[in-house]
Amino acid sequence: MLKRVHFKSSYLPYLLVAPQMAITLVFFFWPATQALYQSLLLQDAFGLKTEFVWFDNFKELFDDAYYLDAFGRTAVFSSLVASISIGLALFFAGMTDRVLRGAMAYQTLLIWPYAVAPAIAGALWVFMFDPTLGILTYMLQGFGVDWNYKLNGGQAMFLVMAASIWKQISYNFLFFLAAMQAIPRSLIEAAAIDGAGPGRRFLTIILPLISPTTFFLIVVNIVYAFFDTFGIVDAMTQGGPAKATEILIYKVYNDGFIGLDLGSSAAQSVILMFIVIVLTVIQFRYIERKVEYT
Amino acid sequence: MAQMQILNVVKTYGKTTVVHGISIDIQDGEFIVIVGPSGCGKSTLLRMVAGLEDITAGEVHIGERLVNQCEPKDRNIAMVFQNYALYPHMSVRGNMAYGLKLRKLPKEEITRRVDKAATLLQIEGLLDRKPRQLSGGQRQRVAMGRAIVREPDVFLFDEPLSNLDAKLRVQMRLEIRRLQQRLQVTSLYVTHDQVEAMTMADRLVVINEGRAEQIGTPMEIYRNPDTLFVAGFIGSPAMNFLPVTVHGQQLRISDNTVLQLTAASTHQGPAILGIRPEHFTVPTNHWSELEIIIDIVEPLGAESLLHGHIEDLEIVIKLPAAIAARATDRFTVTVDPQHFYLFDPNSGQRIRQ
Ligand SMILES: Nc1ncnc2c1ncn2[C@@H]1O[C@H](COP(=O)(O)OP(=O)(O)OP(=O)(O)O)[C@@H](O)[C@H]1O
Ligand SMILES: [Mg+2]
Repeated sequence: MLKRVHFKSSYLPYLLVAPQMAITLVFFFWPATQALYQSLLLQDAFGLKTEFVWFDNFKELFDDAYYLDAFGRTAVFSSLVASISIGLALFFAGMTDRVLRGAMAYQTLLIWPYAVAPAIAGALWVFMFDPTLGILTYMLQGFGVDWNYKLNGGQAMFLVMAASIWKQISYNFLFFLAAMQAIPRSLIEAAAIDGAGPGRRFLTIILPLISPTTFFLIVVNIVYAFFDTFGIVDAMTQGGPAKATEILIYKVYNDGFIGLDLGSSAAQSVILMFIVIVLTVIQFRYIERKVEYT
Repeated sequence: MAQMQILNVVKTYGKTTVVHGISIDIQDGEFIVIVGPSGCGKSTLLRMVAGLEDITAGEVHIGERLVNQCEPKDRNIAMVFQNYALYPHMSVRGNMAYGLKLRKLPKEEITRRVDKAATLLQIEGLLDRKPRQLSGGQRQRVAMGRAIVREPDVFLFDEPLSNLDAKLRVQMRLEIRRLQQRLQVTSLYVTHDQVEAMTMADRLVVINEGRAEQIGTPMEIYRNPDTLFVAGFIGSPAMNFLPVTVHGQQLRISDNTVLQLTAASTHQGPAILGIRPEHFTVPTNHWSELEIIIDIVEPLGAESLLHGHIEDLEIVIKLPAAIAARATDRFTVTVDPQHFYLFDPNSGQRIRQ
């Protein structure tokens, strides 16, 4: 429990939260209400006339095969990115938790990717996998793989996913490692004496005890895959080839800023906003159910 | 059920040696208490027996087997931890059954053993609860239950009572002892509490800085300590130590205070004299007298502790309350010379007459 601090004067607490409130108002509430408002408008191609159309933008979206495709694509993309990066991070953390010597070096190396900005991460992967110059392209060709993500949609999707997963592993790893190290050593020892080998201990003791962290990470990773991967997509494929990597967040940008269909773009962002709100609510409802270690 | 041998066991971490070759021979069904101050290596020794730490040198035999290289699960031991180490996400029944399930016992056998242990420990009503819904004493029982159902060759306890309040500790130590006598399982019990050690042990191992200073029954060790450390550690309140000079039959504390031995000592010169607080009596006979200046009286009920000093040496004496009530600020006491313990001031070894 946090201690409640009592201030003598009544305006000081308000003054202290004012900057945060101002930032939230200007950079979140204002754009959000704008998006809500815009999503109900229809603008003509030259931006001369604006018409209030109620929910037509939304109706149109759900009749639009491209949008539904993007939705399905995003669902697959997010669930794969979230589950693979969580799975790998869990594996690495499980291994590190058992390592004693050199653990620091290992941890530091695993944490580095987190410090790389998404656009830079995208650029790095583009360098390595460039169809003509990339070093890994060269190696793949050695194995007889015809690698050209600029033409092959599946390969492009694979690449974007790999970069997104790679970038997120560090974050997940940190949380898993912290959660595992919070488990008292004696629990693991008790299980060892009871007859459980390392694998069995991981499945029956460690995994259940870190489940609150796992749940938290699932939500965070889905949000990450929905939104923060924008930079990676933009740096690597710009949603191409032929929309193969156009996930929802990228489509908002594409339709709004490139296609200049502001009404539809706003409606899409409102839908994304709604998804985030739902995820956050789920998170807050379930995160309360924490496991105690005693 | 098994006898056990610990032979010259050594543990080093890098360059520091924390256990310097300890040997203990343990009979089948014996309750051995390992006692010593914090950081002396008790837990390390126990954990080597459990297989949770590598044995640097020496041998551990359980039954007829050398177990140095065995995994903990293959040693057929059960351990009760200081913090209980119950699995928080499993019910009490789940906790007790975990080890049995891993050993692939039939379901009915698991249920039978868990129910039997629960009855023995009087926790039948708690089987469906989670550990966090239990009190400290109940968790302690569950931890015991988890050890019992396994029907191991050896029980290992690492300060299992130190998280309980004083009253519960007294009750649980009786229960553990009763249980162990009933089950007749060889036990190794670590504690830093010398009262627990005295009351529970068949035999005590007193450890100091990684060495076993003395091994024996509690009364042997109390009556006949081998070293200064053992004498000071076992017994409560602790033995008084006074620097003296031995001259023939005399123990000279200072020019004014001299005690008489019954016969001339083999050791002459500086020594340390130990006297237990409970061995002081009021002067009724010809033993040499000591005048004590009393600072504080602590009544304990039937007895009282008098804290005072002789010259500038602090001393604690324990007297029946009726006598202590008569104590004024200057008080004369005597000690039967057969309760004098003399120690070599350099080696700390006992000087026997
Ligand atoms: N992993 C380790 N590396 C280095 N030294 C260690 C390690 N584990 C324990 N020690 C040292 O070994 C000594 C004995 O530790 P041990 O835990 O056996 O003490 P103990 O007698 O059980 O004390 P306590 O009553 O406080 O539990 C201590 O001085 C401790 O610092
Ligand atoms: Mg210890």
